Amino acid sequence: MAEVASVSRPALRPHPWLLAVLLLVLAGANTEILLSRQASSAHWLAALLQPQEAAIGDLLIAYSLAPRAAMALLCGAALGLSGSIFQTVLRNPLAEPSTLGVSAGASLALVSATLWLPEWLAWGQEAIALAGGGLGCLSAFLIARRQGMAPAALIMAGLVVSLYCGSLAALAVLYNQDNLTNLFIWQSGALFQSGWSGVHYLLPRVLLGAILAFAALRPLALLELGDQTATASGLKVGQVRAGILVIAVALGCFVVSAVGMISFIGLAAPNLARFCGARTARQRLVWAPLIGAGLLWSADSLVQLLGLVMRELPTGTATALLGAPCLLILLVHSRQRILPAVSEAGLPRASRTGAGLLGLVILLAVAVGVALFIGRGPDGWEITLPFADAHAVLQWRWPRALGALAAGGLLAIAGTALQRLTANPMASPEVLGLTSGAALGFMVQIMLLPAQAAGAGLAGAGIGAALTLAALLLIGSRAHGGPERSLLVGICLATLCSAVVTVLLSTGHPALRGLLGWLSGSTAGVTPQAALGALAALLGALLILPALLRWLAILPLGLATAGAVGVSVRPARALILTYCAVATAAATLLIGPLGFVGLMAPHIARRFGFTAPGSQFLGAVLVGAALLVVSDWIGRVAIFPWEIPAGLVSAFVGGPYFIWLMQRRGP
Amino acid sequence: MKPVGPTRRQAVLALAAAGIMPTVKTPAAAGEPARVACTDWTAAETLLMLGIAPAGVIDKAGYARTMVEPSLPPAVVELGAGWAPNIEMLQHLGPDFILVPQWTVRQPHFPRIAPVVVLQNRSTALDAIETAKRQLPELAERFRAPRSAVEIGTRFDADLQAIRDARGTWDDRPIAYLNLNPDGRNVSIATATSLFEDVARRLGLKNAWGRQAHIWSFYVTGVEQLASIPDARLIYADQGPRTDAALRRLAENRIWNSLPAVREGRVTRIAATYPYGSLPTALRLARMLAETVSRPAPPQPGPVYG
Repeated sequence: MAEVASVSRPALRPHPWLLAVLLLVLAGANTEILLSRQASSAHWLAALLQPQEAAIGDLLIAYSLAPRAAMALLCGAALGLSGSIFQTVLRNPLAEPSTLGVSAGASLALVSATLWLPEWLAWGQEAIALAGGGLGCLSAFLIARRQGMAPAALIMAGLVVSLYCGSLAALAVLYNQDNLTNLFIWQSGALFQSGWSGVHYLLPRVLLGAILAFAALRPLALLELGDQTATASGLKVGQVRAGILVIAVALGCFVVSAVGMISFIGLAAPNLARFCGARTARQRLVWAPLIGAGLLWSADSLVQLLGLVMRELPTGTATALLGAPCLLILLVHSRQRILPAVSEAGLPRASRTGAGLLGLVILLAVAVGVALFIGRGPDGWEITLPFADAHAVLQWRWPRALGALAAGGLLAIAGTALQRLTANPMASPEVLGLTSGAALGFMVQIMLLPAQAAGAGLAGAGIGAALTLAALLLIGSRAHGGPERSLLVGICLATLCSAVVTVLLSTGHPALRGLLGWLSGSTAGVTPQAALGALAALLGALLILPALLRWLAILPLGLATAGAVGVSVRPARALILTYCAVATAAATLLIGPLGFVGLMAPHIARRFGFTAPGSQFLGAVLVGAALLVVSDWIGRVAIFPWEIPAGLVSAFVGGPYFIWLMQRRGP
Repeated sequence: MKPVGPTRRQAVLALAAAGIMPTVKTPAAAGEPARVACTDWTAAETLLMLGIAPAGVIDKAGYARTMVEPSLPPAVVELGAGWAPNIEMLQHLGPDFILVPQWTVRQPHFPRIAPVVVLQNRSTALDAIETAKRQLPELAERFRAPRSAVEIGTRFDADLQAIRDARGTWDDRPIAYLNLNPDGRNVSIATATSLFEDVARRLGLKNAWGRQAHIWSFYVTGVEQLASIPDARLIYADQGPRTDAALRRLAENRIWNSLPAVREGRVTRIAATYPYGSLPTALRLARMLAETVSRPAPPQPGPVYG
């Protein structure tokens, strides 16, 4: 998207080295304070080289502080390098080391081992996480193979694998609450070291990765120019892309296995480098690792300093708390262009969309019927009809079925609008940060107010979502540039909120039980009023939709085109974002921050052949609604009397189905 | 999944046949204890302490694993996950009351099935044990408990006093009570607002860990932080294979091995207890603590001395 609107504005353009040096100086100063607490500076080297067993200060310097700093630098550099390769190769500024399912795969492996094979942990979390991450990424490659490793196909495959593994891991955790704390430590990234083994493990691997990455600079630069140019230069695009990605994936995988999930750096470091003026792949390959190393080291040393006076935060969280504002400031001030993401190639338009829509309506009706009338009781399966409802169970079933329907429809609308607006297949309601904001608000409510006094309401979630929306519009409107920037602003906000959520979760308090259900998309607590309210919201959204369709068709064509046909871009974009935000918030209040429907329903609808804007919206709404209603029913009956949250089931049902669709009708 | 006892099934069927809407309660005969559904383990433990078998409990397997005693009668109906007690099952069960923990959020459906009673856990003013004792009379009366609340309270105090009197004075060091993370790098340390602290204080023992940030029980941090409490005796909860894995990795941890407590053999393992339990859990923890501090720590298995 061209950025002609704001030429007059003076650009803030720090050189990348300035940012890297600033971060490293900050980290160095922090580390100096930490070291001085253990020994005088004259003694540091002696302590490091020949620590006295009796002196705890020496030991802390030699086996904790020094390796921890080294680890932070190494991991930060590896993540920055990996992220910049990902963003270049997949030509998407939202790509990062975990995009191909590495973190989710590693997390699932580790969760499974912790819960069911804890003996294996003695072999080391590293090996288990590495195997899981590798398997996750391998699955993504296999799914995308049929489509020649096209960037969009790889991204979609990675998203599906991530969602699927993430849901499985979440499910395992839900049913094993007493083991929670351990996992959350890992998930929020803990750099605690007690010896040099971690550094010895990581250093040769990261060095090798870096050497290979720089050896692949030429093909990387060609890939950045687009598949056609690269092919014309004699590059075997699919193979080269897979080969280079393997380097990036391996780097991410090693970091994850060594210290857990440190999520934000791989995304932020290359973008920070870009906004500081690193235009080419080569420049970003140099600067992103340095900025990443500086970011992680300063975040980690800050964490340790703060830990002297208050409760210690997980480093992954501090990274988000430090990195997200950095990225936000640069987003607002920098004028460096973001490459528009590559979206999927056009799909053949189906000839009979009318019949298709009718089929989906019938499917939805059947799903609602099943959800209402078929269930399980103490005596096994039973069919309950409205006038023969001996146990009065229908009063509990209709609100959740209706709630699932409305929430599925709302999320599908928001997802479709966002994907059309930004032409980015990774766009979904969660990237706006609203769901994380709502989750954070809900948690704060639980912690500050006695639960009973706070009542049954979700006031906290509502306020959280509203504040996030306000921030999104405020910062987003200042950040001039394409809709990609709005997405990045949303991701920063989401990262900030979910970082805090993870910290709170890591305390493992039983109050989180109620929250975990909601976070995973359980409809068990939906009240009749809430369900009816959400239905009204869905109908309202559908009524407004025709007014927005013209903008949604024009805006993705770019500012110049839009201006030429008389659409004033900024208000139109802000209005559509607000529309998505309200729809998302309404759904989130009902069933929590669901991952799958908002992202996948638009893609599924497209692959059904609903490619025109209007029919894609209707198709996505029906797909999303039916998917959630069916998922909610499965979740209710599958392991009765236990519940499986609808949000998780929807990923299990929808994930493989989507993969099948991709394989069958791939472009 | 869990099978339901035939008597319960018959009762439910009879109820259904009579066409009684579950929201309209038939008053139970005087003297008969109330039928109470529990949405957490502490609630179930509290009921059993009052001499009442709960009508239904969430996650029975988890209860057996975590609470150990008092054990649940097999006839108790399974209500599913703690984060989403099965509403249709509750409806079938038709209890007189639903006993929920203080931190329950967003269960707007419960009051339509039965009156909801909130089990207090701790507050800024009262610790967990005191809170539980204060609430017992109210619960005993509402649930028509066969055992008197006053008697239970007195008995608890007497039991605790007996444990305190019997405890030896081998070692007056402050104690840090830990959960070991299987990564061998992190530990969770019980804070001043934990059940450990409540029990230790009543036994005349001192919690070595003074730092805390809020009202939840554990402080999660790296092993090296234990260096800040060199005099402490370390007691860790045995969480089965996870603890075994942690110990194997800690054996290679230079900082752990250089901790004074580890070098001097002041590390002991006791069985895990539910950190948010009530009086029975507190007594169980008290017995184990008293036994542990009454004798020197036994040699650790494996190469912990490094």
